[in-house]
Amino acid sequence: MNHKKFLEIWNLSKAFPGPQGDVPVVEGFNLTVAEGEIISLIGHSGCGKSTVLSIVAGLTGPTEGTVIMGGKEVTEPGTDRGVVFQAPCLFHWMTALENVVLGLEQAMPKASQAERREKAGYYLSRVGLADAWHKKPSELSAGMRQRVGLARAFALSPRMLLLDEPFGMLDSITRCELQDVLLQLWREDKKTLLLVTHDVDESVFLSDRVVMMTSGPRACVGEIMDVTLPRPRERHTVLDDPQFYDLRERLIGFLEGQADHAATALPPAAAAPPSARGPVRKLSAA
Amino acid sequence: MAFIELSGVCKGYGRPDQRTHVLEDVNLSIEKGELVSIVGYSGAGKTTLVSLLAGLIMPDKGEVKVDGKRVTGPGPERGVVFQNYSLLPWLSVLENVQLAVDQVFTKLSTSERRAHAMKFVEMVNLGPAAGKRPRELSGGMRQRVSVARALAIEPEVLLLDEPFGALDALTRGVLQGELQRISQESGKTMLLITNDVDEGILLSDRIIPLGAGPRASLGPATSVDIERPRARKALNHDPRFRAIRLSVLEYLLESGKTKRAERDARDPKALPQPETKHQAASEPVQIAEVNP
Repeated sequence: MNHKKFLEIWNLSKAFPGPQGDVPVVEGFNLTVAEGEIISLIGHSGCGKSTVLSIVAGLTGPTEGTVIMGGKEVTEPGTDRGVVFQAPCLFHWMTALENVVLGLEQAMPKASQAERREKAGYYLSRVGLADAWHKKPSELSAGMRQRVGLARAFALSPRMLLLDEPFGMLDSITRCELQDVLLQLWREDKKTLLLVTHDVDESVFLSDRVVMMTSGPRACVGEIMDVTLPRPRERHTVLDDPQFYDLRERLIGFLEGQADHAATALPPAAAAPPSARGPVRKLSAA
Repeated sequence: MAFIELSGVCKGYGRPDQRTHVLEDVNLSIEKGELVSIVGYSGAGKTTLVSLLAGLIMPDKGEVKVDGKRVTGPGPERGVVFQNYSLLPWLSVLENVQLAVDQVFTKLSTSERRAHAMKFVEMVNLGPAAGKRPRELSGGMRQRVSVARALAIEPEVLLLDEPFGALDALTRGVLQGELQRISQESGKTMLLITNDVDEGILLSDRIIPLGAGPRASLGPATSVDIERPRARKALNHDPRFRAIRLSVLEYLLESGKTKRAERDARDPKALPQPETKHQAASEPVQIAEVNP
């Protein structure tokens, strides 16, 4: 297998049934991701970012095209791909540790419970929850709950992590903290990360490449921007780097252009197809 | 004497033996016509601060003064805009605004009050939607109604509590532009509460970080000496913008770190913090007592 072509997305299209026939949300989406790379998908609400992510996760199938990961075609969800959603979906009657252990029971069926607890505890410490492992989700802030979500995702040791607006529900400062946590986890494990976001700063700070999606329907890759800021990235140095602001401006320019385009070219119903989100949600909850 | 003065303000919630101390020793003074923003974590006590100024709650210690008078309750000289728009669903846009006008301008005739309300509906660019009900409006339009309602009572001070927090990035940008215009046209004293550092710098004369809670207090104030009107794109390349952004963000992240370290130190059940993967593998973590 070629490490430069760890994930290949070929000519991906997805249409969802609408009242006036099928709505093509994504059309002709192509992308190749190397192993260990951090890629962001950025675009306006409803442009189909999450649809692409769901197809890579195997939660929903494409209408046309193929996704190949590690030389194998993706047809269903698997433990080689971890998914992190906006809300971490923790069981409220279990402690943070038990929530992470529960995931490990699926991923490490042969290990002893003590080994699983040790691994879960290790990852909770890594996300800064060494003091809160015995707390229930209701005793944790939203930011801490998403830390548990990240610990669980990394503890499962998937080859690739798919993050769907993982920090979208957090305030912008907590979001910065969690971005640092995510980069620290990545530094050690070097997982391939595919991240859906609409936060310009977040995509520049985290990624090796930012994939800008055009506005739907028929959304596809608009531009791909390389982020060559040196790693490890510290917030202080990055925010002081003029390059960061150039990249940021290029992204904002693209998104503003897409917004103008969307406002003039699309009927409001097609800009954000709520019907398109239904089936994806149902599948992911099952 | 500044127009708004908070001195030594403390506020907590709960019974005395298990009280959560939210704000501790908050000192703030805002001059007339100034736009000051306070940036902090959610849960740090930003809304408590607004509620104190609005007169919805009273401080445990210290004093809150507006225009030299001690705040003892809500009043029409202080308008508040909350994150959730708090509109009456059975009234139209104009009626929602007029309801507030009717309460405050009792001496005007009905038609005068109507014209007054309409002026502010038009100021937020909702003239064509004046007859619509809140459910027919998008989130951004609803927040505009809320802003129009607060402005229509012609308060001395406008208190904005995360007014754009519930909106998507694009709509937020549009409304920030409108707030900038309104603030320049009206010259009102405004206090903007936000968790978005960029928003704080874009709009205000001074930006002040509110440290992480519990026992949150205000950090050092920074003057934003950037000429108006400010455009997002131009700001991006402005070294003054970058410097303020960096210092405010770092102050906040540092205060969050300090508060977390204090909490860790208090918690006897903490796991050992691993340095590297290998070390952690050789030293099993002590979590045996977890089972209920």
